[in-house]
Amino acid sequence: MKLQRYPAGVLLLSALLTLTACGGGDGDGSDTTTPQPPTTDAGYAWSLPAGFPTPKESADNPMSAAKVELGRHLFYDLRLSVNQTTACASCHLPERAFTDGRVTAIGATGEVHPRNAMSLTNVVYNATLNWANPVLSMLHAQALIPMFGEFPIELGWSDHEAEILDRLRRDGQYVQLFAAAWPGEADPFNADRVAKAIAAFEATLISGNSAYDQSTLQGKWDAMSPAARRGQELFFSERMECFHCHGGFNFSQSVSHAGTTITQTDFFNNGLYNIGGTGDYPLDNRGLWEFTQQPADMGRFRPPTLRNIELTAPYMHDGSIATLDEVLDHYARGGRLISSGPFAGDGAKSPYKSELIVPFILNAQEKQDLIAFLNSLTDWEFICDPRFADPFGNFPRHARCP
Amino acid sequence: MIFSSTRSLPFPRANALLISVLPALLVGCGGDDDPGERAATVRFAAQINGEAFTCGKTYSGVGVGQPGSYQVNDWRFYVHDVALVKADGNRQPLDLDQDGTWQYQNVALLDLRQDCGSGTLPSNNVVKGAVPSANYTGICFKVGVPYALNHLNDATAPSPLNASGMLWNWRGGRKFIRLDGFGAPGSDNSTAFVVHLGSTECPGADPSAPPVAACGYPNIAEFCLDNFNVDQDRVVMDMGHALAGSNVAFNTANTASGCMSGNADPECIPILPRLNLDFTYVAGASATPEHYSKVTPQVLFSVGKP
Repeated sequence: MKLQRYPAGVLLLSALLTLTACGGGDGDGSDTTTPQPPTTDAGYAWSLPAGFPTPKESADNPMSAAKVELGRHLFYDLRLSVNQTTACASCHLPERAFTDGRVTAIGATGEVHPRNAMSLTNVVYNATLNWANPVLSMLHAQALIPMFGEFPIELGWSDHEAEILDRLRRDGQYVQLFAAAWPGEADPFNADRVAKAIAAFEATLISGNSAYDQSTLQGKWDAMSPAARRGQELFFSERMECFHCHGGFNFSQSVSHAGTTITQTDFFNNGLYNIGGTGDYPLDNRGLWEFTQQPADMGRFRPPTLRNIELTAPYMHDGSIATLDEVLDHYARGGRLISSGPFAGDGAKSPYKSELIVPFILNAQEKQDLIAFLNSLTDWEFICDPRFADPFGNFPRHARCP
Repeated sequence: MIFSSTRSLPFPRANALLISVLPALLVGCGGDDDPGERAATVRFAAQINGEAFTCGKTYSGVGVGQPGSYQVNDWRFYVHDVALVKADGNRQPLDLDQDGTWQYQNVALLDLRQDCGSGTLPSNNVVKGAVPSANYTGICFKVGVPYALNHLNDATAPSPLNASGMLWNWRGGRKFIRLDGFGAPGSDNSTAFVVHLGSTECPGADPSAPPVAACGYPNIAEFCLDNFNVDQDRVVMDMGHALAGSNVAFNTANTASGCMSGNADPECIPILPRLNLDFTYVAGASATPEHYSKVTPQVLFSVGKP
């Protein structure tokens, strides 16, 4: 029945096909707006904002409410670091949309990370993880990096794995949480299970109820201010080009979900550096080039989501721009001029800069409007959601939360 | 052959054809292995002025003006309503394989990059489908995405309509053609110069919503090529021809890099007519619109023989 190869056809046509009972029945709906069910094979029900796609579930780590709850505890637990000073949340504070406010992150033993801590907002929808890792796409694989990384040390699990796991094993609450998450396993206390539980929790950190979302997908036109609306027009204009890299429902071109079958691993050089006119970036922050050593990949990083961007300063992969105002100045110039010092060079003239980073002129009003639009992407329900809060009370919620 | 005629219906006209579809459904269920049907794979190739496209390569002699060097870093486009043409001129729409990735309904995404210097990319240079067995001597297709599918929410649209690199905003729909590159790359005069074709003047107050009515300039062109043997030949797209009247190392200040289809962008004046589209240029609010007719015969696509 060839006509059924149109999986989301005209409603009436689909209805007729059903009536004629010509095989099929492959579950394809006739409504293009909800092609995926919101429940996983194992029965886990995603909690999704209106108009959001079903996340892609890892086959190695099926979602379950018990894993999510275990993961939430682990995420906020200081005992997860070698010296019991640092949790995942130390660099991913809920009040800052799961970033840390630092230029670059600092590990449990004080080592400084070369990169700015990324927001975990909608991390389940990222095509790839970290700032410039083209092969890392699974949250539970990513979680092992801060656990075991030595250059720099983040949580410091390397050589201390048994010691850290014993802390958990001796805690009666964790005995219950691990047993619920991995029923039937004699000893689920291992790094793999820890990483997968944290990943399950991270996969629930879905933000889609900002003023923008309320206006766009929930029919509440007034949720966005007139200034934010004017800024939206600028954001989506060919003059500014913002949306080429930060487009789509998650305001990032690097997106993956159950409905995406073409891998969309995008990385861009946005003209932050051009050391000595060579196109080089600082040695410890060269982006995709570190994986490929291809000249064209120098300084290419993944465009992060702009959701909750108001709360995630400072900005860029190395935290080198303090405010959104300055971020706009950077893009208006078409790249950053560093006039002296070891990184001197004009990023606007980098040979590896993206075609879509071009100068523009914004007047003061337009700049305010654009920032109003970016602020309309802040989702206070997400920031204050008790489901995402620290069960131990170590990490405060945003002052604005009720 | 009533079944052949129904399976080939172009999707946007499905409603109108329901009356003819219904009897066909009632007579039987048919199947993919209908002996009167054959698979057809339309192969595409990309060239710059006759030279095969390799992503990231710099080509010389592109456009007008010096030095005419142009580095191409992206090349993707949508087609729809692909049909093979019989000797008598009758068209047989290709019933596209619904592969869940590159093809959906009557639309296909061609991604000719393969490798842009940093490893293998997902790529696709074919449109696959089925037609009744017959002697076909030509091909017709349209570049772009039909209106009914062009403005779906990217979050829930099926692949390939959710390809993030091809999105404009919701109101504007998809980029129909995406060609990214630099004129005079590596020089002090290096200039970002892209061709992003899509619908313009799509009405509506909200860029994050579908347009409230059809776009003023849909910018969807049809191409028909004669003497095309689907089993041997390729459809060759030559963006060098589209840029033949452009200085790729120059961009008017405060306009989009190259041409992003904007009606106020002077860089589009020499380009859209070479994409087989009439173009209306409006410099500003008080300016008289200028009309530029499409170049005929079209110069963008040709038949590549083995």
